[in-house]
Amino acid sequence: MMKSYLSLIPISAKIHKRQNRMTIICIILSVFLVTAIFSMADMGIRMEKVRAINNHGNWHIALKDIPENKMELIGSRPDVVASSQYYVFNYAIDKEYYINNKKAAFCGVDKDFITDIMNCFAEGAYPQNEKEIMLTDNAKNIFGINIGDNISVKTPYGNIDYIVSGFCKSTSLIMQYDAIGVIMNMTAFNKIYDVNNNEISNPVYYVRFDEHINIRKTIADIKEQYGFTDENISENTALLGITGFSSNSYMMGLYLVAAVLFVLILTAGVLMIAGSINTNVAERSQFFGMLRCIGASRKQIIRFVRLEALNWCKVAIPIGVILGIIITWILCAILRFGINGEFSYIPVFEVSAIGIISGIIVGILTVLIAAQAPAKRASKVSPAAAVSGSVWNTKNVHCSANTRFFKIETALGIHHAVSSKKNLILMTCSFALSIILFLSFSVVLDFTRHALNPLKPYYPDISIISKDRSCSVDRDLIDKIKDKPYIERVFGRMFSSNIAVISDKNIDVIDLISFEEYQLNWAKEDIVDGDLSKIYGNSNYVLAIYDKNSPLSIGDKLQLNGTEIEISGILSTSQFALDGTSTIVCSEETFMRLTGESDYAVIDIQLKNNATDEDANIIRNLAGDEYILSDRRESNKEITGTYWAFILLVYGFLAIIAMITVFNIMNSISMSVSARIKQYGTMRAIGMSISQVTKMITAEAVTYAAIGSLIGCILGLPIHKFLFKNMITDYWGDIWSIPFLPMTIIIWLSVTSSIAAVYKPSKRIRDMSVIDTIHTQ
Amino acid sequence: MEILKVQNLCKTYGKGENSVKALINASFTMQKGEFAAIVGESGSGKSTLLNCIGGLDNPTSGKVYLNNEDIFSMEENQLTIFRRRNIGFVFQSFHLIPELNVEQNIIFPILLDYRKPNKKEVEEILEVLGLSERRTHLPNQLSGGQQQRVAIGRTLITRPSLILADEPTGNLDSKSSHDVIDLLTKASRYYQQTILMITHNVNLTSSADRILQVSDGVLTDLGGKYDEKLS
Repeated sequence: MMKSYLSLIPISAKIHKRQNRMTIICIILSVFLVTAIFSMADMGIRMEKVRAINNHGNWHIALKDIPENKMELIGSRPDVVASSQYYVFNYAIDKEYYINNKKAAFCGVDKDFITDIMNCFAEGAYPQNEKEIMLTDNAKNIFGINIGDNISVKTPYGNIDYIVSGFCKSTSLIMQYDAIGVIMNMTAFNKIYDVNNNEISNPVYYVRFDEHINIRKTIADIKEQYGFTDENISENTALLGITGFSSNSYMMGLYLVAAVLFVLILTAGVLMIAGSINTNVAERSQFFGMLRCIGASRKQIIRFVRLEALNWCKVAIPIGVILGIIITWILCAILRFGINGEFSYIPVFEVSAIGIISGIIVGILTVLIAAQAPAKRASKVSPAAAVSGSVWNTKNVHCSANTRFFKIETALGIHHAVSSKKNLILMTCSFALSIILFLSFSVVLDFTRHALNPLKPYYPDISIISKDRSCSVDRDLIDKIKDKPYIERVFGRMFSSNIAVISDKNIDVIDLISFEEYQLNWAKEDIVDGDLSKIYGNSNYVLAIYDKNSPLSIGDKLQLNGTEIEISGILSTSQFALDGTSTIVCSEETFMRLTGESDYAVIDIQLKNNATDEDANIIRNLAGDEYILSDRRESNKEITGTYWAFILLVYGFLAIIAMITVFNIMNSISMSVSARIKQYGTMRAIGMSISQVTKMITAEAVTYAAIGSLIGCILGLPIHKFLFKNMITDYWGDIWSIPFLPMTIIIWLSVTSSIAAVYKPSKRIRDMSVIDTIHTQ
Repeated sequence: MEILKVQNLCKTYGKGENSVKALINASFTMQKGEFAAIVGESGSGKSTLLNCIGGLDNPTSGKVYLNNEDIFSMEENQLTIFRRRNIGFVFQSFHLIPELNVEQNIIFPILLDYRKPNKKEVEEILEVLGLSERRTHLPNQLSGGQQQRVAIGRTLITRPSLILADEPTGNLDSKSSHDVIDLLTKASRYYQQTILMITHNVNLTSSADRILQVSDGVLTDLGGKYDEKLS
């Protein structure tokens, strides 16, 4: 039994299932995208929190240079969950402290530091007395020691023996310096400190607050109460930012990006859904006219259309939210198990309340905004129109189709596309907008590739470096290392800094670097101008590294130790270039001739994927203690992780834009067909074949795609050029060229989806009997 | 010369208890140049009969031969082309293509066949229809009667074997209705077109050579004039 006129909505929805399907899909898509984006942002924040705790520690403020009594007072506050003192010396690994010939850094901490503040506990126990110490866990591999073993620390003032009570996780800094970290309790630390007459280092007192309080206010209270200045307090901005208590908030940044996307999707969603509802209403103008005939007021019609639209949300929002959650889980799983690195902390099967709420809001908002105009349009349908029998809206036709130049079906298709200016502008603008957005974002992709240095092919896993950056690393070491089964490749570089030169370009000194075969081959990728082939072998040609402040260009000549060298090419970047000095690259033979050096400054080693820590240790032993051994495997992983995160983000944006483009095109074509279905029925009755109908719809779709692509390219290319110049040319010197690849991709996508969009509607027409097509409501 | 042969045509909608027999064993033939009218109450099965004869709808059983060709033995595409060349339709709601002007609408079936329309023939039809002055007008610039005349012109251009008219005067005033019937009669007499027309209006059957009545799906051939047969 119908209770009100609005009870007609679910009944009508059942009958118009097909027409409503497209609108429901639009809502699902919007809700799904927003739920997924906000859920991913939420998961990203959760991951960053864990990562911030792991990388920077689980503390909110670090107090410097404060007396011990104040430390105690603060530590006993009810809002403080954990606190610890932290003293350190030889942090820069510049003093002569050794454990078995490896340099060592020392820190004295309370127990909370290991367990609650830094979460760096690996195994064993916190040192209970002055004879016990903890070591970073790289010591286990390097020395083969275990808990309970004795170890001797060599200091400039004599050796001290300790018992190893446990191990802490190594930091990437410790790994990079190839040093050992020693963690002591305060008694042991004070003792070694006193014995060695070290100048008193600045102690730090780490504090972690209860997260349910207003941390910002508490910090201000502490400052005021104890008279601390800004110099006394440093904040863990990473953690405070993520938990939303910092003005320089990572969380705010991430949510800002999500909010921008929210607006983008909302706009796209409103455009898509408004189109759907508009067509839906246009198709049923007789129905609304009939409602007006039998006494429905305009307000009632508006309410009817709005509620009808909201009725779709009942189905669409839950589906969109569930899809969003599932996709978030899948993406998180890919990030965690596929890319790993810094994503190893991302939660996989968690649900984000903020994601779900945003999804629901976007669903309802899009529908309400989108239904606004069609509702008004429906209310304006004249009751007379309902009884006139004239079904097609022919008011918009102002001129006839041009049947002279094209076959009739093509002429009609093109005419359908261009006859309504409003529709043509909307359609081509949505095409063009997608192309412009896609082209603009492709610059961001280039920028990411340049800025983030995705593990370039020349990045080493391990470097053997001379202690004073001189060419003193034995050349024969390469031969000793290169044949090991876990080695991918080994290559060396000679380096000479601040070499005096004479030139007419106002340059007095340069840094000179040698590249051997591998590095020269990799350099081909980075050459922005000139010829690299000339510098091979013993020649007088060199490459300059691009620097926007450097006056050097191709053809410039420099006098170096009485020899004239000429710049034959410019490299966009090099990891070896130092700011402020012009860097010149030459072949090994040229370098040897110019400088007289023959050994390397650095030997870089790339390991195979299956190389283990033990293999790295073998290299360490081969190199001996004469050189600095820099193990970059951990930081390389971090670089890869960050790179992939950005790439994923940018590709995510591009994918969303592409997805909206494809869906919008398909939706528009389908709607356009729905609006003309009766006309197609008549044409078929008169004798138009299915293939002619398909050609007609294809001509319409291709017209939109062609005009849209043209406008998109005309507007998109200058924007691309502008962005490219500002984001890339100014920093890396790359010259702008027409972005054929992204252009081809997006135009191909637009044209393909236009053609694919024809398939379903023409199948629908084929499957419908001509009678049904003519009489369809 | 026999143009149309309808044999035991049946059409049933729905299945089981809900099935409705719209057409029961309808059989008749039509000769070239014959003008026949189908009369019957609303829902009696007239339109179903016309749609089946035009190949727009498939019968449940039975055969339709047009020019001795079994139209239901044809493939979809073959039937479309056959319909384009041999059957003309006139609908109650005119169903002109809104984007095409009067002349383009008339030559539309020729264009669908990728043929060049014969200028002389087009001129002649426009003359007969009385639309020479309005050849470049769009359908929305014409009155109902004029639109229906264009629809008739569209059927005449291909000189089809059979013209099917479904209530061609249903949306027209009495003057326009008479004009349209006159035009159809003229087409039948002047161009020797075979015409099968559905109508509600018994007054309009006076021009027809023959009356067919459909009642509850059963076709009865009333032969000559409707009035004469009833009297």
